[in-house]
Amino acid sequence: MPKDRRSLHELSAEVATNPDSTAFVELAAAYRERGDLERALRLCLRGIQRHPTHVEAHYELGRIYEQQGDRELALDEWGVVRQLAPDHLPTRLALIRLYLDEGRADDAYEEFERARRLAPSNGALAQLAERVEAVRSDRQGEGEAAKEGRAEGEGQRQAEREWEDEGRQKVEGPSEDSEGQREVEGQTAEESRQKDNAQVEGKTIETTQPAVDPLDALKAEYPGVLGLLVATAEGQLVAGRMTRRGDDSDSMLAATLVGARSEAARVAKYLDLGELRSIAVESKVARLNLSPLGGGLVIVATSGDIPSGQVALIMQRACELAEASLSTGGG
Amino acid sequence: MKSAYHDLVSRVMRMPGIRGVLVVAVRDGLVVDGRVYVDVRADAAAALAASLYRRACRATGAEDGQSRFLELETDDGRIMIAGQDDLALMAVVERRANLGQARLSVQRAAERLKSMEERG
Repeated sequence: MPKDRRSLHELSAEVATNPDSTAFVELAAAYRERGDLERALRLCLRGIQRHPTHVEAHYELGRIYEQQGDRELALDEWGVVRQLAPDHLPTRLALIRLYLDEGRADDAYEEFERARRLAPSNGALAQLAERVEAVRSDRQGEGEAAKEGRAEGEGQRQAEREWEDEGRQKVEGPSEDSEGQREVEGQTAEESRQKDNAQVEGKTIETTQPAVDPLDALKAEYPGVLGLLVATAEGQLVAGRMTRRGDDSDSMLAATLVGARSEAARVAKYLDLGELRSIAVESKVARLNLSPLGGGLVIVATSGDIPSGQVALIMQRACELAEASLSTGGG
Repeated sequence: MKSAYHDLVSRVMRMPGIRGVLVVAVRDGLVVDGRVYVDVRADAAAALAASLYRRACRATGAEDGQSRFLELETDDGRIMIAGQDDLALMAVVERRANLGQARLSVQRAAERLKSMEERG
């Protein structure tokens, strides 16, 4: 820990006054260490949009995901660091630990060997050597440990899969009672999101509710629509719903997909293809459509049998409804 | 020496408006095979695209063995990625390309890739 570490106040002030500053990484780390993972995540995602190749930012984002229990997202971020800076030792060490925790003996060993070539006399690496050898020597146990590791994340991912289940079953929607209850819950959550947003942005905003729920309006016009989410650039959910588990899993999905937007924009940049316009992910039964809206993102799930032309119209309408929702208090 | 994927890549590359085709390892983003025009920064793009593909699969709840088709639309073209757990085919498509044909071609190539993987 550096002795001259700046206080939260100083870091916040720098990030607030200079959006191009890279102090967001240190600030995110400070929030993470205090357990404020949501704020740390928002800061990091927003910072990475401005600094897409900032190695420490990706490393920090991986640590936040890891602390949130989302090891796969952590692996993704550290994979990006590995590509950007193959000699970044903290990432190598983090990967070894994570692989060990998941019982992925071969991966841990490979990573360990690479790290050893980078820093043969590193103390932290020496401490990990024994664990790596122990896991490797127990081939029988490692498979089961890996299964357990995967099972941990499975429940969380199950929620994210539900939009697809809806596509399979062509569900018309929840019963009136549960819908009514969700509306009430949705309003409360939306209010708190607005307040949170206002705190982050340093603004005061009205907390009036949108007159029309954008998802209901979109579904009424296009019956093939299964869900809609509106997220800020920081991955914060401000309107809509997608999965049947409600706010938490919708928020998680929004954060994941805002990260996907950032990666997609970088892919387009590397290939000199200009600005990103939209992303679509198709499976046999459903399709997830993402359109940038200002700094944020509009996400619409549709059934898989809707023609591309109609999807384009749906996305156009979804963006209009999302904008209207935001302007009437949805974020 | 021709790689196992040479024919598959060539078939997609023959389509008008295709700037590059890559076979990418989904797990680590390494390029297994492919052909691109000189101005395409293939390695870096493939690494990020693989990460994006994994993220998309997770977000849409893809189980092992399920395929996904990912399409990015940009100002100057499209990127199409199709595949399964281990390998994905990524195509860089110019605006002038026939989109329907390009999609079909990428999806068919991904199916062939899957068959090749299954045959080992």
